[in-house]
Amino acid sequence: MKIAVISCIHGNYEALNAVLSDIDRQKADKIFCLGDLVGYGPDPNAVVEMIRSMDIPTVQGCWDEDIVEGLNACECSYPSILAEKRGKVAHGWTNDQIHPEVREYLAQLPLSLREENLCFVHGSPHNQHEYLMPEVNAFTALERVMATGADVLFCGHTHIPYVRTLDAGQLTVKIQQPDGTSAKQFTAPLKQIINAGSVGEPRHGRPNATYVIYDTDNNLTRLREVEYDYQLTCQAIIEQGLPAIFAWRLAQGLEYAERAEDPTHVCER
Amino acid sequence: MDRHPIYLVTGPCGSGKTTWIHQQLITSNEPSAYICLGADATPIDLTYITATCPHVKPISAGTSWAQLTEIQPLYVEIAPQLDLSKLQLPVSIESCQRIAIVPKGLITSEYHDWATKTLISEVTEKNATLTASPRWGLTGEVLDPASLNVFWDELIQGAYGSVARAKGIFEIVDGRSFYFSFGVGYPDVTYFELPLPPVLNERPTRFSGLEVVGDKIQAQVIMETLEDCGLDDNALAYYQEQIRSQLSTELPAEVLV
Repeated sequence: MKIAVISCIHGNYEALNAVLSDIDRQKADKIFCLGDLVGYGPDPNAVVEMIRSMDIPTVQGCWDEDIVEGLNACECSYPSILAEKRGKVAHGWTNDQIHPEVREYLAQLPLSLREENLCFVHGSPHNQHEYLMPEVNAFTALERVMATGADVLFCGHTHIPYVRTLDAGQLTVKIQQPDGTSAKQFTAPLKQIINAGSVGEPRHGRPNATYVIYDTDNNLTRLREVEYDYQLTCQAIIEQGLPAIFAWRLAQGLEYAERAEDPTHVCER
Repeated sequence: MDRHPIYLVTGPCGSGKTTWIHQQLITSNEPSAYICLGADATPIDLTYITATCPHVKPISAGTSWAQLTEIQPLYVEIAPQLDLSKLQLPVSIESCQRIAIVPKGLITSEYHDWATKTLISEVTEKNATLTASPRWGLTGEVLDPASLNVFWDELIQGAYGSVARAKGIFEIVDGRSFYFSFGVGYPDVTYFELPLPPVLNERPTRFSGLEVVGDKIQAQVIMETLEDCGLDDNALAYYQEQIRSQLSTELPAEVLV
């Protein structure tokens, strides 16, 4: 079975449309969405309606949660004062625009989804706000996958697509206690973390949308980069009264606001 | 005894006037003086030069020329917006060394005509016609360094208009002062800490500011973004207290006897 995994659409309807067309051309059997349907972009309602109308299985992202529960993330969500101020402007605008039924839809989204040996989350299995960066240490990466019981963990949140294969290996855990040290060994099977990148808010230096196609028959992953008319989104950002810097950053292939740098930090609320 | 001349240094925006003067001053330890005509409200160059060359006497507006000429060599940088043909100085201009710093490819200009010596800099000709330069005095503002990095990257990449030249002095929350410099055609983007004492009590009173030269510069948006990068009084007091506390608990180095 060929599945498409999309993430981090952030209210960018033009990008979503282009990606869905590309998925159609790739003849994917099923689509999964890793959340962050809203936030920063100019069309949050239209994006959610499209996902709902297509019955795409979707997990809740950190932005979806913030729109439902209010902006109460700890300071770690913002790597700078400037990012915080911009994030709050985007949150306030989105919160004002969102339709009641859209908010209800976002509220009932699950935090993770399973499909056989595959698991789908937004940030990490522990928290929607946690970044699983490609360079996170192997032990942490393996722990995150094994915590799900799956073999392949799909995540988003970083906005940078990647595939990380964690080779099968012998792990030793040593525990030091007052009465001595005990060690436990176990074999970790081959695991994978696949980050789907971002449909609506890329961070790879180009404005193109990214997502992944995964073939369950041969475990092959293809990272897809899709061109679309990002100028339409930029225009909509300006017309909707969102900060013009969002349009500029989108056109540069930069996130609207840069992400937090500490990949191991988990937001404590 | 022979006296050093007074150097009058001119050239278009971003041609490297301050860089050339700094190169002359940094290689000498003799008492010198520097003034930038036309930049009294935002003395970025003056602050940069006097912070990095302690032997240079800082000269600001209002200083009499009689006092100025007592310290020589005296370097007088002339901002591009000043009309050279109408320049009036209390000393005979003809008695001064008139130096033009011009970009590569600029063959003729008012700077060539006016100067007695023309030096070719490494920058391109592109900026030669630019003279208007929005400036922002930021004295008292303390910026969040991560926000400053984002702002600066956006600025020099064109988020607020096409920038040919930008330079600024910024105060950050740990009390340090940084000099930032960017120019189209310059080999590198530069930023470094100025050797000034840290300010960890309230807001600094020493100068900080920004100057940007370019096309369609969105001055209002730049000002608003800089405001968004700044710390309010409560946040500043909190962080300064943290830093003072950290410094006070650091043990002095162990002395071996």
